[in-house]
Order: sequence, then C-alpha cells, then structure tokens
Amino acid sequence: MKRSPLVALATALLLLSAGGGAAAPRPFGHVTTLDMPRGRRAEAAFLADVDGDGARDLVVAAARGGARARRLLRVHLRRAGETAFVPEPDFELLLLPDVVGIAVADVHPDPGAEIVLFAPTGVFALRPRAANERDRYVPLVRTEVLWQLPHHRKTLVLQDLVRDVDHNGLPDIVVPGPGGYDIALQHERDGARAFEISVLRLPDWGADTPLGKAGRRMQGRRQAREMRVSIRIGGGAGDASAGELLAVSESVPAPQFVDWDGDGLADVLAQTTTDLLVWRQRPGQGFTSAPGLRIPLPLTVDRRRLLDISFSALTSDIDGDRRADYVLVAGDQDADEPRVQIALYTRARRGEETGRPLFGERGRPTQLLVVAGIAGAPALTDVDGDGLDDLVLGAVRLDALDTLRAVAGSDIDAELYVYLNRRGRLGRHPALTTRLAVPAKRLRRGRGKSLARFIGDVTGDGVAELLVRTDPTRLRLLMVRRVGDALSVVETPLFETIVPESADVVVTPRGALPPEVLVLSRQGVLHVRFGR
Amino acid sequence: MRRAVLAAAAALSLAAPWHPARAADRALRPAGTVQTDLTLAGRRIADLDGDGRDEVVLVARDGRVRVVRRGTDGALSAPLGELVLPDPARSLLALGHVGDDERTYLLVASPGGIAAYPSVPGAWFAVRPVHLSVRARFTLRVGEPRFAPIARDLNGDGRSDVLVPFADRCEIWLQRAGDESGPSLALGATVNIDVDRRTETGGDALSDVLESAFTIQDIRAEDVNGDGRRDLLVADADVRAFHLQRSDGSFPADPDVRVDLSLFRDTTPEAKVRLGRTLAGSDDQRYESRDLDGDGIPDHVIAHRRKVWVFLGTRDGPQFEHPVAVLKTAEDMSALLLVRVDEDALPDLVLVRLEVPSIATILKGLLTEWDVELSAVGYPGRAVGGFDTKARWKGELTVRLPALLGVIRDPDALIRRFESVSQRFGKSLIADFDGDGRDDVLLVNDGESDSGGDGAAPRVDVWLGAPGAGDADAERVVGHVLFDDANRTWTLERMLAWLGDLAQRRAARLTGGRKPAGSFSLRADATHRGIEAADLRGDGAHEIVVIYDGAEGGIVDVLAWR
Repeated sequence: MKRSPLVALATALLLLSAGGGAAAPRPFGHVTTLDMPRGRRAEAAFLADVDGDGARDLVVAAARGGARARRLLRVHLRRAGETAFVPEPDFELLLLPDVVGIAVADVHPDPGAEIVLFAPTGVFALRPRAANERDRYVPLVRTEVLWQLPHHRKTLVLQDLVRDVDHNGLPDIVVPGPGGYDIALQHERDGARAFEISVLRLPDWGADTPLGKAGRRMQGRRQAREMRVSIRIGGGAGDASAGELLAVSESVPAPQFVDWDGDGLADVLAQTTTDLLVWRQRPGQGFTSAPGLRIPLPLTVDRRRLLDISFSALTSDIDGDRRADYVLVAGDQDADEPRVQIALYTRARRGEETGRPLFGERGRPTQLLVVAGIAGAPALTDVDGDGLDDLVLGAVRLDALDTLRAVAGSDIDAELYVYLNRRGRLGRHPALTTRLAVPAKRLRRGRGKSLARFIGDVTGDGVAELLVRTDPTRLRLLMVRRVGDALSVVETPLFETIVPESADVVVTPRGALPPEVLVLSRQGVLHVRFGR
Repeated sequence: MRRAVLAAAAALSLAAPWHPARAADRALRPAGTVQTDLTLAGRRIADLDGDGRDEVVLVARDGRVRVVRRGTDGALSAPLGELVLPDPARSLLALGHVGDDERTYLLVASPGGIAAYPSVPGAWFAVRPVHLSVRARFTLRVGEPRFAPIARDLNGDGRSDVLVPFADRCEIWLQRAGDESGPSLALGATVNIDVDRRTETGGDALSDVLESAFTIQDIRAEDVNGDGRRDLLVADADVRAFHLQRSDGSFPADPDVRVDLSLFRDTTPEAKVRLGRTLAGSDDQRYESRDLDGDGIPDHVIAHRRKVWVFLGTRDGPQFEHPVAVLKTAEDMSALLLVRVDEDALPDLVLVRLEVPSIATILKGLLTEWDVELSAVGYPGRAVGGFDTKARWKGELTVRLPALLGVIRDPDALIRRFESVSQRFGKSLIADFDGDGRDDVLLVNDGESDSGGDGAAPRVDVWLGAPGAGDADAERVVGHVLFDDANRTWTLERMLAWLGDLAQRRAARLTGGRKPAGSFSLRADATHRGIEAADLRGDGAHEIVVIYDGAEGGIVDVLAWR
C-alpha cells in the first residue's frame, strides 16, 4: 500500500523523536506511566477488578531491598478520565515469604475482590480491608500446589487460574498439583461463600513423558531452551565444580477449559504424550476424579516430536456446534524441505461419534493444510469478528535467497498467516499474510521478547487489531481491515511507542472489555489503553 | 496372601548354594532372583548389621522399605521388614551411623524431623525410629522417597551429621555424643545455598506443560586452612563464605571469612556484545579455588573482564586482601580454567576467549556450516603460588558447527548422537568378583555400539585381574586440545569421535585391552535401573546385583562368578 507523503512525514518525525527517548504516543493510545519509587522494583503486573466497580485495576508485584528482599503488592485503582492510574498506589500489601503466586478474584463476601494467594500447601484469600490481622487470611483450598518454591523477589501471576468454571457468576479456583488438578467451585449460600472441591487425577502413566512413568524425566523437552553437554575436568573446588544435593522436577499438562459435549458447561481437557483426557463437568456436582474419556492421540508423541519447534495442539469450538474441536500443528518429519502440517479435527454429528471420538478410528483429520517453511506458535482467536476462532500462525522462510537478503539487510523475514474459519473449515490459503521484519542484531538481546498478537477490535469495525513487537524496542498497534474475502494490515501504526529492550509486555485477555497493555520494566509500568 | 505367594516364589527361585568349581568351568551365572511388588524409588547396598555380608535395601514409592539378603543357607530372602515411611512424598534418605552403634541406620529427613531407623538382627529396619531431632524439619515435596547425600560426617567424629535443605538455605545438624536421653542432633549452622529453578505457568495449548523444577546445589566441605578439619564453603549469589570448623567439631553460625566477588572489578569498560568481537562471557566475576602452591591449602582466583587476582590460602583460612599476583590480559576473557597443562604438579592458568560470529556468519549458518573462533592463552603455575606473568602457551581453534536449520528441524538427532557417545562410557564396577583377593572390572555394555545400533541386548562384561590404573590424566587433555593438537578445526563429527575414543581408551585402560572373561545378557522384558557389586555371602567374592523395574514390581537379579 502506498503511503501518502503526509503519513510518511509523520512516521519519520515519530521515528526521529523516538531516537531520543520515549516516542510521543499517537492519540489512539492513552498512556499512563507509573515509576517505581526508589528502592522498589516491579517484578510483575496485571489488570484485574479489585474494587468490584467493573473496571480493571492495576496490581503490581514488586520487591524492595537487596539480598533480603521483601515482596509486596501495590494496587492502583482505576480513575475515570484520561489518566487511568495515579503513581501512588491506593494500598500496598506485604506478601508472606511462602506465597508463590497471586491472583485477584471475588472469593469472600467482603465488597470487591480479594487477593488470592497460592502457597505450597494451599490457596488463601487475603482480605485487604480486614480490621484484624488474624482475619486477614482465609484458607480456601488445602492441597499440594505444583509450584512449591517461593522466590525472594518474584511472584507468579496466576490470574488464569481463577475463572468461572460452572458459570454461576462466581469465580472458581483451579489448582494444578503434582498429580493433577484441584478445581474449587465457589457457591454462595446464605451470604457465605463455600468451595466444593473436585480432585482431577491424571493417570499414573503418560503424563507428558514419552516413557509414561514419572520416575524418568526426558532430557530434551519442547520447552527446554538449551541442550547442555558438560565434561568436568580438573581438581579444583571453584564455582564450576559444585554438585547437586537435590533435583526435583514436576509437571502436568496445561488444562484447557472448553465445552466437550455441548451442554453449556466447561469441561476439562488435558493432553499427555499418549492420550487426550476429558473430564466432563456434571451439573451441580463438579468433576469425577478419573477422566471420563481417554482418547488415543492420532500421532506418536516421542521425544523427537516434543522437540519439534512446530508441534502444538489446540482446542476450541471451530465449527460452531458448541463442542470442542482440535487443531494439531506439527513439522512434517518425512519431508525433504521444511514444512508444517495443520490437521483440523472436528466432531462428528451427535449420535454418530465412533468409539474414538474426535479423531475417528483411523485418526484422519477433517482437513489437512500444509505450510512451507518453519512455522509455529499457532493461536486460535477470532480475527474477523464472526464469532468463530480463526487460526493464526507464524512462519520463517529460510531458503538461500531469504538468507542472502537477511545478510544484506540485517533483517530476518518472518510472516504471520491468518486462516479464516469458514463455518468449520479453515481457508485453504491464508486470508492474511503479513511480513514481520525481525532485526537480526536484536535477536540476542531481544530473545523471548518478540510479540505479534491479535488483541481484539479497537477501531470498531469488528476486526481484531494486531499488536507487534518484532523489534524489542518498539511496540506497535496495527489496524487490520477486511478487503473483500481477505484481510490486510494497515502499515501506518495506530499506536507506537518505544519500550526498553528488556521490558516485558502483558496483554489483557480478550473479553468484553477493550484490550489494554502493560509494559513492565525495572523503572516501572507503562499502561496503554487503546481507543480515542 | 499376596505377600505369602511372593515369599514362596522367592524361596523357590534359583538360589543354589555356591559350589567351588574348577577355574576353567567358572563363568558369570545367575545366582538368585527376587520378584517384588514394590514400585521402586531407590536402592542401596550396605552391610546393615555388621556381619560382613552386604544387604540390598529397596525403597518403594509408597514408602515401604525392604531388605533382600542371603541367609546362612545361601538362599536369597524375600523382601524383609515392615517399615513404611510416614511421609514418602517428603522424605530424603541416607544410610549412616548413630552414636557409637556399629549398625547402619536409615536416616530419614521429613516434616516430622530427622528419624533414624536402626537395622535389627536379621538385617532389616525397625519400624520404630530413634528421633534425632523434631526441629530439623524437611518440608519440600520430592514426590517419592529419595536417597540424597544428606548424611555425612562433616566434623570427623565418626557420627553422621545431617543436611536439611530448604528453598533458600541449608541447615547443618551435627550429631552430638549420646547422653542419657540418647543421640541427638544440634543445629550447627545455617548457610545460604544456590537454587536453580525453572517455572512454567502459562498454557493456552493442550501441548503446553505447567512445570515446577528446582536444583539445590550441594554445600562443599573442604579443608581450607590445612588443619585437617573440613570447613564449609558456601556460595550465595556474589558472596562466598567460609565457616571454619572448630576443634570441638562445631561450626560458627556466622562465616569466618566472607568475600563479595562483586567488589573485584576491572575498570576496563564492559565489552558490549558486538558481533565479530570477543564475547567476554557475562560481566560477572568468576571464582575458582585450587591448591596452586602445593601446600595443601586451597588458593583462590577471581577474574573480571581483563583482570585476574590470585590469593593464597593461609593457615588462618582464606584471605582476599593481599593478592600474590594480579594479572592483566590484553583482551577480555570468556572463561577461566585452573588445569595442569605442563608436566609438573602445579595447576596452570588457562584463559579462553570466544569470538562472537558476525551477523553475516550467523545468518549464513542457518543453511551452511559456520565457524566460531576460539583462542586460549596459558600461564604456568609457580611454586610460590600465582602464575608467570608471561604466557607460555597460545592456541587458536575453530569450532565448526552444523547448519542451524538442520538442528532446528531435528534436534533429537543431535541429542541421540551425544547420548550414543555417553553410553559408550558405560557404568563400571571395580570389585573382587571371583574371590581371589584382586580387583576385577565389570562394564555395562548397552549393546548398541557392538551391533552397530541394531538393538542388541544390553549385557554386563567382566574382566578378571587388576584393572588398569584409573582414568588418564584428563586435565592434560585440555592442554593438548587447546595448544598442541595439530588439527585446529573441530567439527561436530570430530568432537563426537574424540569423545568416543576417550570412552574406548578408558575401557582399554580398565580392562587391559583383553577380551572379557565372562558376559551375561540383561533382561529384555524389564528396564534395568541399577547395577551394584555386593558381597552378599561375606566371603570376599562380590556378586552382581541388577535391579529392574518389572511389570509387576521391582526385580532383583543376582549374578555370581562361579
């Protein structure tokens, strides 16, 4: 698309001003900067409604001090008007040393929400307004929590673990443990809150290791970021020669909450290296301990597959029948050239499902697509606003010509594809292919900071906008619009700002409220609210 | 009922008494099997009751602790004992000694404190322990009972002391001499320790995994002041702390010597990671400790950017105020080694510099082989401590790496190649298997290297007679590779071949290059989880105990040379 001279000039001015520091944000994004006071450092941040007014407040997990750091929470309640938050928190809470993670949810009859604290042996509510110290902490769930080691500076944000599983309007708590998941369903009776706990147990085999038994852990994992070969030589006793006193590794598949059987209730799906497990939610009764369904996967998930950079499995209602479907993305290990296969499995009609639901007896997908190159990081999200999830996929093309171009220009070409969901079938070709240039010189420092995500519609045309951070120092919001049956990205950003290279970016989950972004760095938090 | 059936089955198992045979007829033969119903978590070999005969200690995931031994009739017993650990998911185990008792105890650290279960006549463990401390509480979840190096005689008094690790520290509990109330533990010191952790909390995909993993580094106990008593060395971020053991066997709560490595800074500006220039590692200080002057007391080397400080240890302990030498290098260093390069016994200083490839090289490396240049400089050690200020050895190497695209497409292929080489090192046991009073050698052969990867069954091979003298001087290998080897280019193939040769040479040294005197194939229908040498009969001839995970539970196979 050819830019108008005016737009080009505006862009140049923007980039020039960006060279000296933070760029003046475009009017489309409203920015609030909260610097941390001296001696405090922001470690994590998220948005959640703390005071129950329906607006997202800002919660910052921080640490103060050096070697003997103390952790604390700074809560900034949202203000009406242009400036969403003021620098001084509305209240600050010290975290106990054994707290591993936090969330915010309404789990107590007190007005507003509480801070939900995850500790090694249970989940507690912290009531900020409790008059007495002894009433401040309320036990909610007593169980073994997967993450058992608190950090003296960092606090895990576990907001995804509080959700209304049974759709009764009250948030429930999901607690992953070493053997499965405890799901505490919240009820209200006579003004009091109670939790009924379902204990979902993974079978004793196959929980993410190709060998099945928990005793031996695989050495190469898909999420491992390094392969280490070490040879110890020399008789010294320096830093290089320390041995291990104790090594512990525990893991469980990430549970997915999706309606399996179309009864309107969220069920739990989890995938081991051999099977897809389904726990159906029973109305008013929670979940059984053992999975009700165990469906063998349509492919072998061995170590080679787990190390496949493209390998992903996702679930969502693709065909609109309100039942969970399945998308598998995996590298074609038999092909001479790098390429990726996308297999879509949708459910057979009700009453026609075979003994092996979803995958069928032969494991043949409903639809199979092939993408050249190295592709991965798939996501299912509604891009075109039709209410159905589309497939978003990133790819890197690495033929000789691309490499030479990259050497000359010092950019690596990545591409983002969107396959639109046409009533249960993905388009054969991407409706959107957008090039993302990744500066090669930024690869080392910016490793792990890259981002390209559809965050929801902020322009009002129903199509989700694209938040991009391929250069770790620049965060841009790009408008995506419909062009006939396809989509296109408007090159001129709706919003752009410079961010510290080491900063983390947090995006609010898609939902009823407009999307917002937090940029977290040592200096503090930058909040961006989109819209005019 | 099931236990009775298993006991009967075990009693009927092959357990023929040992018959002396002519030397020419002797071979490695089965000498007993025990099938258990235990899902095994750990095992140990030890003479529990001091009768000169080893026992096999088996620990199950559910907390059951059982012992397998040979009776006086020579038969292998069924699993013996009734002990069930009260909190198996939070138990660290070790074998040790309590008080002046010659028996071996099973020491257990759990949320209930430290308990010591004595072995009883018949050589299994009592169900009622001696409580050494209820204050020393181990609270981390380890999933199943784990043997760990938590019991060691730190102060040389013949009694086992106990380490209790936490998320951020380690408590050292010293065993006191027993009084009228019996033996007990007293808190000797609390030291900070390094913990590496890995956490995954996010998961939008079915293929995502939530994870919690951590590794607690061991504390080091080493004599740092030459008084013959082991001292404690503690690392906590940038700080190194030394707790010197007192003559009464105690340790001070506060360290005697404490050094903050971050205070040692080279004022040369930090080398940015500019492609095509030397990678100066990270900007952290590096610390190594070794006896440099041969006085038996460890000395200390600290390096930062281009500067190296050398401090000699003293009879009063480590000191970091008066360096015996300060070296300045021309370029930033990436790594520091204290290894013996020349023929003398003094460690030498080797500095390694890694040159970061240019963008062009990295990008081209996506599709083709690519090179990383590495250079090394060596400074000989001096008898008075420190190093010569003039480098004696210099070397430049090229490490040629495969195309990244191939690695990205199939990293498992690369891992398997390294695994294949590591398996060639194999487990070795040195013990007297034939009872002639001389050490023999056992090597575990995975079968792959012999069969060319066609999946031959793993087996054990035995060589009789004195094994070759240990491992070659591995340190000198470093000097040879960095400075002497005529071939200066290392490809992946060459690295793997070199490692393979290392394994072969090691085996040749151990076996004298001879053919094995005997071999025995391991079970194909079960996963072997350990091989140990044990003198089960107490006659000086060690038997080979092979532990398997079977479909029904753990299996103990015993092989003997007879």
